[in-house]
Formats: sequence, structure tokens, C-alpha cells
Amino acid sequence: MANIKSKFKRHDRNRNLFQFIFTLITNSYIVGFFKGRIYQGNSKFVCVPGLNCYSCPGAVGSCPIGSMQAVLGNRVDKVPFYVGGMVALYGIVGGRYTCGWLCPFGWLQDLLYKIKLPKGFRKFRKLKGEQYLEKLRYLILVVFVIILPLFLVDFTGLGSPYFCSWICPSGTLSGLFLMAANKPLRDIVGLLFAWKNFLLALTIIGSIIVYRPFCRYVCPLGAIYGLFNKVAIYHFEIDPTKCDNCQACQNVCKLSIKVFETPNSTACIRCKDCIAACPSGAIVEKFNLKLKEPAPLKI
Amino acid sequence: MEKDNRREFKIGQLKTLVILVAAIVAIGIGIFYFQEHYTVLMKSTTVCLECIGLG
Repeated sequence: MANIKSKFKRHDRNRNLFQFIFTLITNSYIVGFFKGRIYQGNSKFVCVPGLNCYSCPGAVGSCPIGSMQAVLGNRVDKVPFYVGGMVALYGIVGGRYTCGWLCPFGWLQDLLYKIKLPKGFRKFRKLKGEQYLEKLRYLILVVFVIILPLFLVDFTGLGSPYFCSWICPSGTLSGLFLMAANKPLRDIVGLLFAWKNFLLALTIIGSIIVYRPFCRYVCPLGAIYGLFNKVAIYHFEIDPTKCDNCQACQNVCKLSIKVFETPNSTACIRCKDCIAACPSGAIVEKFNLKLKEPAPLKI
Repeated sequence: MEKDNRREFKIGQLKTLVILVAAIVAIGIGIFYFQEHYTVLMKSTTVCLECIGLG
């Protein structure tokens, strides 16, 4: 038991370090934070896998969701072949691995969840109406990322990035960094800024109480990647000869997934806590096209 | 039962391959035919006021 605990601790520390390093790599334009400006180099035509606003002063790549809306809201070429292809490629290779390991906003929520609550308050694994709340991200994806930028256009035919404008707290946080060192931007704050800061505050407080509320209920990128979990090259398999249904995986999963039943659930962010906690090593990571024939079913 | 299992497995494998190839082809079309990466570059190298709540 002590062995599993130390293995789990080590795994958690390693994941945090990995998330930190990846965040640093994708936000390596450190000068931007001090000068209040964004990076303008050519690497920005590449979409990073996670939700990383391109208005973050450090960002050296593009946010796939922002880019998708930019193309959909374009005057002429409204089909996002390139951005859609990039997202599909990330999805088919790793599923939601990005959410658990590569997304800076996911990492921020992980850190916030580590904050201990004062006595008398408790953290929640699930919210009431979880099954409906989980569907919200699909609705946001369809309405705010696809339909509105495509059809709600101005007189010149340009659509706005409605998800970024009205919802995305990652952009708001990036904006705060940018504005801290950029006075002209501070001078034009208005009602929308207040609304977005309210949503950011809600996300921050929510993340202390519930594990990753933004990823679970709001994030359209996570919604897309989740659909790939079942067919992704990187996936989990359960070794039925080792699994003894002890449910340690479900107990440790902060998203309460029954890993032993649905190892490739659309909600799974591939944090691998379950693998670290499994006493019999029954959960196996696979990175293949499942080229091996499956073992015949035991009847 | 075993036959069904194999069939399902092969379909799953095919889906993965088709999506992988389609994603790579889509990226190619986006870059070489539509020059979509320039749209992305243009958008991402100017401060997105909407994203930070000022638009």
C-alpha cells in the first residue's frame, strides 16, 4: 500500500513537471510579459494542441479553437481544413492526452484543485446534474465555435470569435498579463471585460472546489478530443487476467470514471492516476493501431 | 461471438486509419490549396481584443 502511495505521489509530481515544461515551451516568449506585447514570429501558424490563447504575451503558437473561429468567420474560405486537420491529428494520435498533459489551462486548474479548503468546506467529485452539464461543452462547441462565427457576420462578411469573446477564461487571463504592461489596452476596458473577468473568477473558484470544471463542462477542444478517445492510437486497455474489480481505479479517478469498464471514456483526460493506483497493473497504455488480434472472449 | 469481436476490431482499426489519413490530407489541402495557415498567422500575430475581453 505504501508502495502504491509513493508511486502515486511520484507520478503526480512528474505530471506536474511535464505540464510546467510544456507550458514553458509553448509560452517561451518571456520578453512579451515585460513589454506588454505578443510574439509575431512565423511559428504562430502552427496550432498548439492545448487551449493556449494567442494573445498571451508568451505564446509562440496558435490556439486551435481561436484559429478555427478565425477561419470559419473568414469572408471566403470558410472550411477549416488546416486547423480541423491539426485538431483531428492531435486527437487521433493522443485522444485527450493533451488535456491531461499538454494544456496550460488544464494545468492551472490542476494546481488550483490542490488548494486546501478551510474546515467545514468540502470538495466535490461530481455536481448535481453532471450528466447534463457534461453535454454543455458540445453545445458550446456547436453554437459558439461553429454556428455563430459562420453565420453571425458583420456588414463586411466577417464573423467574430464568439467563444473567445464571450466565454473563454484562458483569453481573459492572458489579457491580464498583456494589460499589466500595456497602458493603452487598460484604457479601453468595458462591460465585456467585466463579464469575462466574472467568468474567470468563477472558473478559478470552481476549480478549487471541483476538479477541472472548465474542462468537464465548457471546453470545446476537450469535447472534440474526447470523441477521439475510443479510436485514438494512444489508448488504454484492461488486462482481464489481472483485473480483480477492486475499483481502486475508479476511487482514485478525480472524474469518477469506471476505468475497469470504460478505459477509453470520452471524459478521460489520460492523467494516468488510475494506472499509478492499480495494485495489479491491469490498466495498460497502448500506442498502436491495435494491430494485434484481440484475445478470444471467454464464454 | 469471436467472429463478431474480430469484425468490430477490424472496423475500429479502419476508423483510426481513415481519420489519420483524412487529417493529414486536410492539413495538406489547407496549406497548399487554401493557404489557410496565413489566415491563422495573420489572426494570431495581432492582439485579439475579443479574446482578452476588449472587443
